[in-house]
Amino acid sequence: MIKPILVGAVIYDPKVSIIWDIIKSFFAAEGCPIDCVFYTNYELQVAALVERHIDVAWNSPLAWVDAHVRTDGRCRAIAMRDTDRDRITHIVVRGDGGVGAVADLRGRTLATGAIDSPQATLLPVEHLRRAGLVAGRDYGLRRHDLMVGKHGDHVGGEREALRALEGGQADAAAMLDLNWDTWCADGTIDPGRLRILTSTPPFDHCNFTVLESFAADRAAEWAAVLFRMQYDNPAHREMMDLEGLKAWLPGRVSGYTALTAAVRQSRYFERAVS
Amino acid sequence: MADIDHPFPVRIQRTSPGVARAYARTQSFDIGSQASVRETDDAPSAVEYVLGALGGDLVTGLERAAEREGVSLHGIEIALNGRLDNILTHLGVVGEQGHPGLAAIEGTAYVGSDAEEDAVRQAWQRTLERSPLYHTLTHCATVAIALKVIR
Repeated sequence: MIKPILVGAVIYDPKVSIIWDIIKSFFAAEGCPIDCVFYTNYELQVAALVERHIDVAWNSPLAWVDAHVRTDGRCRAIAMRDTDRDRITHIVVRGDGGVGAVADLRGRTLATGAIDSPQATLLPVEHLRRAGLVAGRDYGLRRHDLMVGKHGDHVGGEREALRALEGGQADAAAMLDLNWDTWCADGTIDPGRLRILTSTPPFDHCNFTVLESFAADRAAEWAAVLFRMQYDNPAHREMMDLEGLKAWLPGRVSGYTALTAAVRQSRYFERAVS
Repeated sequence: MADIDHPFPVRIQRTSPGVARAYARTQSFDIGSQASVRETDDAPSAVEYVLGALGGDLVTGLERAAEREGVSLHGIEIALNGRLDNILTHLGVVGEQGHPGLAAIEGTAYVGSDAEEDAVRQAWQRTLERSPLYHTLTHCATVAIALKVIR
């Protein structure tokens, strides 16, 4: 009997387990059995990867950086969704809020997601730092620490940041481009009242991470099976829609530069340990 | 405690992958999972059977209690909702706290009757007092079932 490849994933919604059941069935049918281990937060999952309790970790971008740091770079990103590539974060303001340019944020308040959300906190704060505005010194930060440990997977932090902007408790709010698009489309955001002030450069999001010590041929086989999932195959589409992708792509790490810098600048992991 | 010990033997067998069949006297029923979050399954989950069993216990119990007390009922329906203490522990999520057991069962018993409401409530009270499953489950979960009498 082939030993299944253990894949770790962080979940907070029990319905997400259905997606992984579908993925597990798919891999079994392709002759490359997997088993799934669920974690309540990314710190536990990265530790499990480093300690070889799991073979593959479905990592958030911050979890990727964490794994990279903990292994001194001895890990690889072997696959990701098409939608994980080239995301951007918008900093959004009220049209009548008096913030016409980034410099106008000086002395004002930016609402963000959770402390560990790359897209809704770490990256926009870094983006403003590079523009000469430092959080706490040049502008106030109103963070919404919902579901800390999930690295911003739960959209609640961004939603609360949006509410703070709309309610006047903040002058700007950070949100992922996909959420801006969704909320404009479903009416949550009135694009006549809010506008995008500035956006971060593109960055990458989640990836499947393995240690360098994980057998290269097994990793290659696993990725090859994953890439056989096709959006135009009705049998695969349900899962791919649930996971929010149209194609699985090879992993790359070029999109984590800004986050790595943000983590280094904020000494994020040192603060997390102490 | 009485010396009478009446066993209720039930035999449960795996009949196919993911399906267990329970044999009780001359009847049998299939159980499809422990607790499912899917929209559909081939058979109810064990948790759903527990809730259904509680509801069935109370429906049949109320019918008998009402009959004994001469209270005429023209309909009984119970809607129940169960909640596990932490369903993520059932899914084996590492790092989660709590347990996968039922923590709360809440619902409403809708009873159609032209009898005095007090009489119906009395019959309901008798039902709860004599219900094996209500007594069992109140030891481990919060059970709150409201009674609504409908004319």
